[in-house]
Amino acid sequence: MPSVTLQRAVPLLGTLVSIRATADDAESFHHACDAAFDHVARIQVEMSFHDAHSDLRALARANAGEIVPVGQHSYAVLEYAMALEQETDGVFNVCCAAALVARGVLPYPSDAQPTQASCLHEGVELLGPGFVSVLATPWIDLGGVAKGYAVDEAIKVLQAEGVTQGIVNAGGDLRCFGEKTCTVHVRDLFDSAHIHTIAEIRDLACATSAPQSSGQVTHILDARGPDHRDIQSVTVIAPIGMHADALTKIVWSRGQAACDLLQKYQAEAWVQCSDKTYMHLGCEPHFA
Amino acid sequence: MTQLKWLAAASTGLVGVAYVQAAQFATLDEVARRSFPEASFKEVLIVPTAEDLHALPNAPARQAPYRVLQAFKGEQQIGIVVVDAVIGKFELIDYAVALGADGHIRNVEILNYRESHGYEIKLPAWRNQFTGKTAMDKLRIGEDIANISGATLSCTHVTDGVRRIVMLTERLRNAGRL
Repeated sequence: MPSVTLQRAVPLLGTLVSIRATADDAESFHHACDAAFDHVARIQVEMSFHDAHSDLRALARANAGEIVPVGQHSYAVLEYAMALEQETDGVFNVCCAAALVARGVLPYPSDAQPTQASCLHEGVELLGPGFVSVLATPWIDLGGVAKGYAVDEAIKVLQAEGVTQGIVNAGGDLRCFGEKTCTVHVRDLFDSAHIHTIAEIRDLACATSAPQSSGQVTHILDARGPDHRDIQSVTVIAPIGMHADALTKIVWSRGQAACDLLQKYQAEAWVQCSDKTYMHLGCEPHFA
Repeated sequence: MTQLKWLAAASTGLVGVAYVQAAQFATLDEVARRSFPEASFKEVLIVPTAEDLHALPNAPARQAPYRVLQAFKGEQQIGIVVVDAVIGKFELIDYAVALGADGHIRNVEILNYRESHGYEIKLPAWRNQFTGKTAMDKLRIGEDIANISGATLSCTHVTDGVRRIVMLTERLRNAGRL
């Protein structure tokens, strides 16, 4: 049966979200894209610290003892962030919004209570889907994991609409699904006009964080500092976008020490170092 | 079925290939039809005056006319689709904003995206830098942005542009000029 491969892009999540997919015809493609972009827009509303109506801002307005209803997406991501905070002994910490506000990356939430929680475990208890108990007012930023999550969700919607092949890219967090192999490129750390073609993937997600050199402010605020060779850019390939996204931050901070966690999530990493060397982590790579 | 194959280039530390990304996502007509199904369209230009620009936040000192498709249902105008272009650090983005008759945003979509890293790819002098180099250094023009991991762009400029368009069209509508 003849099919079409088309692409569309919209501004969302503070970046450009593109969908390239194969469908039976243009109408099916656009119908599926409409649904996927709508879904991502809803996720954005729940998890945007910029938006005073978001779940995160509701949590920042809450006092200890309050129970705050949150949407399914926020809950799912908080649940994962909680687990990862524990697994990394606090290296992955989404209670970093206050520092980002101080740096001018996030807007000052004038309606919020003063931030009290230094980490997620201090700040909230997850009661069950849709409800969060506040232990101490948390200022939470999910920017380190939200794009990956949104990509996963967009793909679920596309697949539910009958699309069997495609790539979703949210500002560099990408995931492909279907039979076709996707070639992954990563920008050179020192010259963004140059790319490195590093891998071919199928049914996998890929995320890259280059906090110091991208000009975008990092969400990585590990006070202990990186205990690794001077890693400046981390690319993680994992089955799930949310995991790939989050793991870039942990690898950036922990370097080789992140290998166990990479293996747990069936992930592998490729890093660029400031001395223009490269490393693979979490795997014994067999090169093509 | 997942598959990961690392490529030899990932291990060698060779400088990557010069790569100029460009991607076409949608045409203005396509965005207009998606935003206003079954409408008919008429193309006009909006030309902001100096006073108009003065009233807008972060407006450029010189503003080219906006290309606009007016959407009609019969004789009644039901909205407009405005084309704008913004320039980020490396990226040039053409996009379109669809607004209802009440001024509310119905749709924002990217039309096309291209990168410029300071290279003027049409200039012979720039092309000549690749003369005599190996295949690894040859310029490639990218056909899509789907496969580059690692963000270099934010949509702040698009957001700012949309905001300016909403304010400008509201101002023009209130003045009976739209």
